[in-house]
Amino acid sequence: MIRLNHLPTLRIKPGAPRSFRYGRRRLQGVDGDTVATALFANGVRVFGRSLKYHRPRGLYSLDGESSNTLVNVDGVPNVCAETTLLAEGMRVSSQNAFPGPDFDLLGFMDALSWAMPAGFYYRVLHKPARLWPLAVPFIRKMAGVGTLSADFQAPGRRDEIYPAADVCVIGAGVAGMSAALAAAEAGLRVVLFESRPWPGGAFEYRPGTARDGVAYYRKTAELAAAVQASPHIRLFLNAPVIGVYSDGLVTAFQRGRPPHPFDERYIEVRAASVVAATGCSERPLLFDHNERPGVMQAGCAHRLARTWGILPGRTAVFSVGHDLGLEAAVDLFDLGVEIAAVAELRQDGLDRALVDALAQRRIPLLRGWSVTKAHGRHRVTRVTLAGPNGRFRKTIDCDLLVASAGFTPVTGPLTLAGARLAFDAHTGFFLPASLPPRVHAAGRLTGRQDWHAVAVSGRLAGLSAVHDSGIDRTAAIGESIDELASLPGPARGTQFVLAPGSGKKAFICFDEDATVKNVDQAMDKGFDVPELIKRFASVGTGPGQGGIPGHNLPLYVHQSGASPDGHPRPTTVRVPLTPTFLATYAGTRLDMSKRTPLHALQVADGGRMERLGVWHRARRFSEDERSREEILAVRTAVGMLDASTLGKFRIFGPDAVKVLDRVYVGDMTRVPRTRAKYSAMCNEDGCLADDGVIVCTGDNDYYFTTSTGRAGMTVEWIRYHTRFDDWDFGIVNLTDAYGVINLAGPEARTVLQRVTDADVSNEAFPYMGYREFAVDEIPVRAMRLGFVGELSFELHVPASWMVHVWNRLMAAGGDLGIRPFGLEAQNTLRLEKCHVIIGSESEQRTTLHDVGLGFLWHRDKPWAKTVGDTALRQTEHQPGRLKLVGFRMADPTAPLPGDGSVIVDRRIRGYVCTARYSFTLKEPVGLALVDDALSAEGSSLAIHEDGCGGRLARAVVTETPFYDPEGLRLRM
Amino acid sequence: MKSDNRLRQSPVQLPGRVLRTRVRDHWPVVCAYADEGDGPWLVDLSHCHRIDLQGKPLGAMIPESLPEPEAPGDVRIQDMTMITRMGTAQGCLWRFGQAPAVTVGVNGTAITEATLALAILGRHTFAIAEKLSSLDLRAPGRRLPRLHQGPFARVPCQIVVLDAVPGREMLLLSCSRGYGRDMVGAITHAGAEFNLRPAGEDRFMGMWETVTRGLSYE
Repeated sequence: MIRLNHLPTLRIKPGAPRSFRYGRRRLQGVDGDTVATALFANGVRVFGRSLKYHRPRGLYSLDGESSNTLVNVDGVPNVCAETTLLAEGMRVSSQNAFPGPDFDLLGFMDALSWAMPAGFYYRVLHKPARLWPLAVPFIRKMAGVGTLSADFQAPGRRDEIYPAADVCVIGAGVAGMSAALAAAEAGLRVVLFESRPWPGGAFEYRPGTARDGVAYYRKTAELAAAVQASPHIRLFLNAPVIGVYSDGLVTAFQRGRPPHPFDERYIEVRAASVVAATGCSERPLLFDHNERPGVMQAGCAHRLARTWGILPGRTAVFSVGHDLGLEAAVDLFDLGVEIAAVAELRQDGLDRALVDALAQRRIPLLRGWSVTKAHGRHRVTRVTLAGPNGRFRKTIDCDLLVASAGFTPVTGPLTLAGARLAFDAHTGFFLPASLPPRVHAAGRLTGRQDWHAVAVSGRLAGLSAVHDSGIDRTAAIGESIDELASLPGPARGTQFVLAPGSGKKAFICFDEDATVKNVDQAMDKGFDVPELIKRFASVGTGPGQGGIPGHNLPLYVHQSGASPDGHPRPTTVRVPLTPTFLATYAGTRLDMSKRTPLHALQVADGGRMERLGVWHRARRFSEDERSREEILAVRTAVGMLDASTLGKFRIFGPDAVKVLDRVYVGDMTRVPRTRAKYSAMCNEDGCLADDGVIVCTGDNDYYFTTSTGRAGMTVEWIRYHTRFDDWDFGIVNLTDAYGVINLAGPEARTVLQRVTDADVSNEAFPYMGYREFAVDEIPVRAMRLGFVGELSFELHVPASWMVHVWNRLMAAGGDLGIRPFGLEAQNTLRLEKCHVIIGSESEQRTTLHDVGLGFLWHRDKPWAKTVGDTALRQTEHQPGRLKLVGFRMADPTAPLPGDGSVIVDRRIRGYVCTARYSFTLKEPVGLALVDDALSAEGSSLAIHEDGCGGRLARAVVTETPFYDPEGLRLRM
Repeated sequence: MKSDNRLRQSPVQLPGRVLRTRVRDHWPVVCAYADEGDGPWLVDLSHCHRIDLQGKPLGAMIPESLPEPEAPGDVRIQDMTMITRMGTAQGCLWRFGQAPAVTVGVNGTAITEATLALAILGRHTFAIAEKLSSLDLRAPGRRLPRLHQGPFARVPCQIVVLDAVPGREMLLLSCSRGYGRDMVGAITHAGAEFNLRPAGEDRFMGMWETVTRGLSYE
């Protein structure tokens, strides 16, 4: 197709060709084309097939208001051809049509539309009930748009950005730009979003003249230049807004194009004020076959010519209800389109100059007339028009029908911001009855159509935003109000018109193939408000997000008289206002995690790293999933575990001990300098929250550990539970400051003694002792603990020295068979000793007493009541609680039950917390939470596992701990 | 039992070829990287001493020779020492380069080991930052330097904006040490389009002197 390449409004570079493939065809567009305009320029008129009826669909709008032009681009389905800029080498294909959109084997579905009434999914194929599951695969295969495989990974580069702004303006049309400039003049930082690839909105392509005689596109271009020159305005083009939230939070995404380093990026702005200047879309005219390829909106036809240099058709009929339609007819005539007739819904109120212009061009103007039917199998070949009373009719041959009933204000952002909309009879719009604080509306969405009025309303909104920020603009606002009053006010809107006809093929929602008849069916079923009809008839629930039916549905329902409400009410608008990839929301997909100081060393040693919470940790150091060698090394020689992820804190100050007494169940006044005290924290319900050790490092100075998972919330936990006490203490999170090496095994002391001058003998450094000494002059905090049930030293080493100390210990224990061990070995080792891990052997409702840790509880703390104390008193002897027990399998050769397996008799009586094969004991052992009735030693447990086929595993409650019950090995 | 070659390890390794290093207090400090370019730059300052100060009044916890930030968010700099105030009763003291040691009482806790410290310098610093944080780091009307507390690359951070004048943009950030690798990865990724490169401590010190020269808190 030959392009009009002489127009000053063009946004393409005719001399810069772009090759792409469409199906098997190699086609050519130009730089600046969208996929849709490039296809249209190459003669493609049927872009795809509709959701249910497989009706041919073509170019209708240019802003992605419907799913008509969804195509597959480079393997990505459901890409909106209207808003996707063409790129060299693109591979485009149609979807939901076989073998192609021009001839679709499922096109016969259109003839079966009678069998798919409103509420099809709720009403049909449900009786008998077994029918529906059989029908679903067929329905899914035949309906829908693009297909997506379950393992689809969205290609492309994603990014995210959080620009700081004082004012966020949505829409860079004349009003939006005026608002932005007004705010920028005051020095405020403005973010301006425009969904199209260029600013200007409804005026940037129009050659008509404003009241000062200057063409709209020139005036708009001047405004755009001022915006782009302003250092205070950041203009994001090709950036549709996704959502607007309270406190000025606006989210958007931007489609990238060279040289952008992204394909799409997520944008989030929190501004003090928001200005919505989103303009209007066109309200579809309802008539039979109103979505046939060849039917398009006035703006679409006009912009095709003015922006992309493509004539939308050879012979056109217009059926419109606003001056913009008349203006388009005049201009397209001048550009070479034969205009067979203009049917104008309005009898009066037409722009006199435009009427004269039509007359000068001998274009027939039919006042009060409307199109009633579009003819043609795959594209429009002729149309039928009807006069005001429906009595007079004309049929005219044409290949283009420009149809537009009126305007629909794009109020989505305002609604999301919290504005309440009400129907305005003058404009026929749903307009905000009130706006939330710091939210302003401007421009065409308020009903104004005059260039100057739109600009001034934008300026007024911008000044109001400045005023919001505390800069007095009272005088300027007053001047703008006066000026606005002197300019044309909101234009009278066109009343809702439904062309005479059956309505069977008058589509109110293109995306869901929902017709006027479907809405009637819904109302016949008793649905009487648009919000319910929308759901029952699936009107406006497609990818276009209600763009096509959002206005017509409530007007039609209101006109029907079905609604109990005296006023039309719009349906609810939700995010996303413009849909995009979920991958775009994920942005750069930052997955921030923590690594211990030994991470690289652990990996080098063959550690199989796993992500546990925010940390990466070594699960094991061999292929053996049960970590046999690591376990045996600890039991027979010596091993080292990187336990750096433990939470570590310093708490100090005159009231530090009171704080500890508040959150720990034990008596913290009795923590001697040289001892480590094990204790637990409970929540208000007496349920286990955490455990750890506390050491006293100085006067009113303590160092304590928490479990890995609780480290991040411990400071807040403590601050929260002391918030009313005004106690004098400080707390510092030292979790990352110290690495922790758990040196464990009968040879642990030998190894440690080789690297330090300190006396670490059992006498000098007994079990549960705490010492501070040096390894290679590096200060180390050491505790003698025994989580894995062996002689153990927990060495707390400054993080930057961890690698050095680890290597020193490893070298010192080389001849003793020292080796690293991971979490799997630790889990089995501590299980043999029946040491609990909170979260593994406890759940939300597990109290201190349930897991046998009641001995930690100190009941009498006169000065600091323990968190959970009251609940502990109440639950201490409460019957019916789950209790932690140890069990052995009745048949030691039986398979190991999985963690989480349920314990049953006639009902669920508990579950297995942890079960492992004990290489030390040479049999499986486990810990389980069971009904207290089953907790007595010798009780039989029946364990059910998924897939066991009713064959329950048998276990017996047994004495604990399984290993070294006297605790001799800890104290050796 | 003393070894002679004991070296501490920084939580991060920046992706560049090291040109010169010096050892300070067992920290191998990178002075310069090859081909540092003309900015923006990323500098590892994890070796710099940092001390958490807590207590009421906070001023009493700050060594007498140093100025006290008056309100949360305030930052005071004296020579090579910087004090930030996080809340009514908490502050942080940073020492850069060869700054002499300061003595703090029991209310001070050394947190050098606990945190990662990075600096982003030079042009496009804030363009990089806005890709990683929704914090308004350049809110007009706020005096610099200024402390911000909040997410940077999703991680809770303390961020000190030292200067925002074009050409001397400079911000410091610290977060939990364990995030080091991912934090550097996130910043490097965000800065790729601006040609962000690693730089040594010399680059930082040079700009520090420029930025802090003549700072006044009147």
